[in-house]
Amino acid sequence: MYKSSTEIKVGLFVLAALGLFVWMAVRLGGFGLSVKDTYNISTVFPSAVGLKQGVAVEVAGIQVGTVASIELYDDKQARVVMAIQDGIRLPADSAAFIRSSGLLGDKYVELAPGGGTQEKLEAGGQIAAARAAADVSDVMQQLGEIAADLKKITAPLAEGNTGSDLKDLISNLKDMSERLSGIVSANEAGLTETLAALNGSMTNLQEITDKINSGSGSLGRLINDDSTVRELNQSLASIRHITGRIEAGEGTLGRLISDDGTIDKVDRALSSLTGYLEKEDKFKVFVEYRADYLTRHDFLKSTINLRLQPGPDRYYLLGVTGDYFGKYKRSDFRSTDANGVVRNSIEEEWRRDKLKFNAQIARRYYDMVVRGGLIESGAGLGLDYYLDEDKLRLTLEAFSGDFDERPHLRAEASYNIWKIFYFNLGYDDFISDQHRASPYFGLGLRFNDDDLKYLLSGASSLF
Amino acid sequence: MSAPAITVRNLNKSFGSLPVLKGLDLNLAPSRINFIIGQSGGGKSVLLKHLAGLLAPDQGEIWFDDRQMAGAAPADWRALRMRMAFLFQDGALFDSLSVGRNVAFPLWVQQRADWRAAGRKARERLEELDLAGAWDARPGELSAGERKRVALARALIMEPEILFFDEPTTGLDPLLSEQVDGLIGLTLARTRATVVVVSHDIAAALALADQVAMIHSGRIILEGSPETFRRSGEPAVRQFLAGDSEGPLGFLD
Amino acid sequence: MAAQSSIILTPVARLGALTLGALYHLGNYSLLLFRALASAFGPPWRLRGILRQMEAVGVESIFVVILTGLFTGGVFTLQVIYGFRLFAAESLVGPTVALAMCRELGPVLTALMVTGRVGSAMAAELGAMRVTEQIDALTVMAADPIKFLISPRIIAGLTMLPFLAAVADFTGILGGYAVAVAKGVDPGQFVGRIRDHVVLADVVNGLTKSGVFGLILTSVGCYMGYYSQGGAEGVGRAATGAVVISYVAILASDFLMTAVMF
Repeated sequence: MYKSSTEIKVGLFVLAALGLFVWMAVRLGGFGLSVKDTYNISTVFPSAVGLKQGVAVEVAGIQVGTVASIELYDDKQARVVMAIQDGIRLPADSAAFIRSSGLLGDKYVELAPGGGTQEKLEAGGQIAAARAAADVSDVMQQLGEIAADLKKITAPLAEGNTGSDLKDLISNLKDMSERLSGIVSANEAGLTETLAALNGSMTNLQEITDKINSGSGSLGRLINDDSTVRELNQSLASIRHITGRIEAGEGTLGRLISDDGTIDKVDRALSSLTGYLEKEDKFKVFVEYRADYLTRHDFLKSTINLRLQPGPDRYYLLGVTGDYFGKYKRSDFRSTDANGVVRNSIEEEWRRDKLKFNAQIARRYYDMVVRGGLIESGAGLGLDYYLDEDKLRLTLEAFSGDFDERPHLRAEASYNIWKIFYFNLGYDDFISDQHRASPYFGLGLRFNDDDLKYLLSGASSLF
Repeated sequence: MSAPAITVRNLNKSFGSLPVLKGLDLNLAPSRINFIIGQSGGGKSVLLKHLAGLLAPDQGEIWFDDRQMAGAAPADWRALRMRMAFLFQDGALFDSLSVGRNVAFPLWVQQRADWRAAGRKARERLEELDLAGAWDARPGELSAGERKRVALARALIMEPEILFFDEPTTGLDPLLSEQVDGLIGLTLARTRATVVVVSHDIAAALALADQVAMIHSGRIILEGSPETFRRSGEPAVRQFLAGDSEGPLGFLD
Repeated sequence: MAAQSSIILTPVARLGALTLGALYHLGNYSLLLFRALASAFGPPWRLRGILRQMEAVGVESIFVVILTGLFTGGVFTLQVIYGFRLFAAESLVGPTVALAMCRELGPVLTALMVTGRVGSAMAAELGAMRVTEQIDALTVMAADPIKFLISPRIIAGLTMLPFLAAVADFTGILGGYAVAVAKGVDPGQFVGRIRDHVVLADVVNGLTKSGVFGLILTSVGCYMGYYSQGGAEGVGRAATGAVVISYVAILASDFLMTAVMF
């Protein structure tokens, strides 16, 4: 039924290109279609409330696995088995937290990699559970403890026992502020989320405000108590004391901020980072030369391209190709013969061994390069797919020919055999209606700017 | 350039698994009226479309003088078509254009003439065919006979060297048929083109043709002057001439 | 001869024939698209033809696109308000509607509407020209039918669909605004939050997508009509086929482009 194989060939060609596009879209879209091998580790939490099978396991906010199963352990605790992707090696002294994300406080597991040991977790390994922290009820509980502390301070004052030991008061205050900073530092990351959760959980807030208004609960009593203002003043004084210490360079934070060395370190880190970026962003120049033997036409076709690469994700290609078929030119003439009848005639002209031009813009997405512009003096598109750490390149090109009515299609595989040498194998113009289809093979050379500098300096030293 | 001789060698064409032309050979005389006759569905129109490059043969050669056109480059076909005109069975006028623009179209497209200049020439052609009044009409508003005449005007405007007619009188009443037949004769007298008419109207063929070829089951079974046909003893030809329903052709419509 | 064509196919052979058929059409379609685009950029320029098609695709579709935009924006807002009330996040209704219209609903629904209106009409028109041999007539006159009939239609689709999508984006937000205000959302917040949350890239990417949809719906319509077979019935098949295939292609390409763009 489908006698003409041309359409089938084009169909296969387009299907291959579409397949590459779909593959790229799936990767860019971040759909984890590929199933990665994993290994299991486990941890025991006092409670796994809200945690569900299949939720994310993250390290530093990046997903490294999923919760494989949750089971009761020792009849009172929860054992959580996590499937971690192969290739991610965690220190043996890592700890696990249950944390919540988003407005609705969905639970997931966060791993905090330890730093105290060189040992790595093996499959089936067990890690310690850190306190499941940073949710609204915990924070409320801790706030309650602080309120109790405050009460301890304020109780003697309220009783009018002004003769009580001021030292006690100060130590109480110090205690309390330590606890406060303890909460803050332990939950620093979690607190932001907690606040978000607080914003979102209307019901919770409603409950809290109700309690506060009715004066029930420690916080409520605190706020409704007239002595609060006085106590707050005192608390502020202690905070001032703390900041004073920081300014004086006492404590870790103080040392960190006051020490000039810190700034040097930060400076150095920044400069090395920019250095790295500069290296990656460096403008690169490549010169490519290739010669391909078209077996059916017994002809050697050569191309020289200059590739300007301002960044790793894009480049510009400029070059020339010497083509066996050369250029075809036709002109239509009109003439009027003796009888006054208008005649059309056509003059055709072939020019062989004419140069054709390449001028393309290319963009890279992961392993795929999309090119567009002039390919051998015809408007066209190209797709390159890189495999095996860019050693193997699969190419599909389509561009308009100057004679053929069909597009000039080309499929090619190119392999970097050694250093600057490439071996090319392909099928050129395989749907030509002018019998131009031909397999080809050839050798390519590719110099980058360092190679070129070396070559040029080598050459100049000869003179 | 002048009107070419057209030679067909071993032409084969199948649609799916259905063979329509089976090794057909044919010679068409230059500057003459050539009729190709045969049953409906016998491959006449398919043959004609091969000659105009509208269908590509599976196998075989089509020569216009010394140029082989089967499988030729599209550009070569375009060049040949500048010298060619085709009158389709139902006229194939462009519905979206007025009658005037339809007739002027080839001039506009092939010589890139502007509509005004092309229109002047188109009006002359239409006047010759008594159709000046239809200038602004749409093809849909015309009768079958008028459409055919407009199509003829369009075919003749480029003064072609090759003229193909696909069933020019099918679906016309006898009076109109005669008129169109007359036009075919007139056309030849003026343009000296190679005229190829595909028809099952045997009477018109014998009256008008310089050369007749009869196609039957994918091959030419008889080729020659009308006189040859009248004298032929070939049973299929005899049956076709007589319009009998019994014979090697099978049932005739 | 009839016996020859009715070969009984085994399921495997039928699957093979189907695959080959799909590949054949994909290839044939690609060739047609290539020739249409290649011949569009070269003399003789068919400006008048392109303008006429732009009128058919663009101007004559505006009314239906405005209606589509208004109602889509309106009903979408209605549903969004219902959901967002649960979170007391009604101030975010504006940007939600605007983002959905600009990124997805405007371009996609415009393309689907225009396919139904214009894509099927192109298939029917070209199918009729095929049946009445008008396409053959063009060929014999040395006028490339692809350049004359298909290129202008594809160029018109490519250029006009972004305009129509922009109209749909705007009227969609307008419809959403009307519904939101009627439902008690603060008008100032509706507009102000759109300014905060919708960036130019959202609009531009949406319009880029709609250009691709325009290319798809016109080229598929033209392909189905240009290669239609079997008389009036074939023309009907071409028209419905054009709509179905365009819909699937538009939605699939939308998914791919969205995955890459956003």
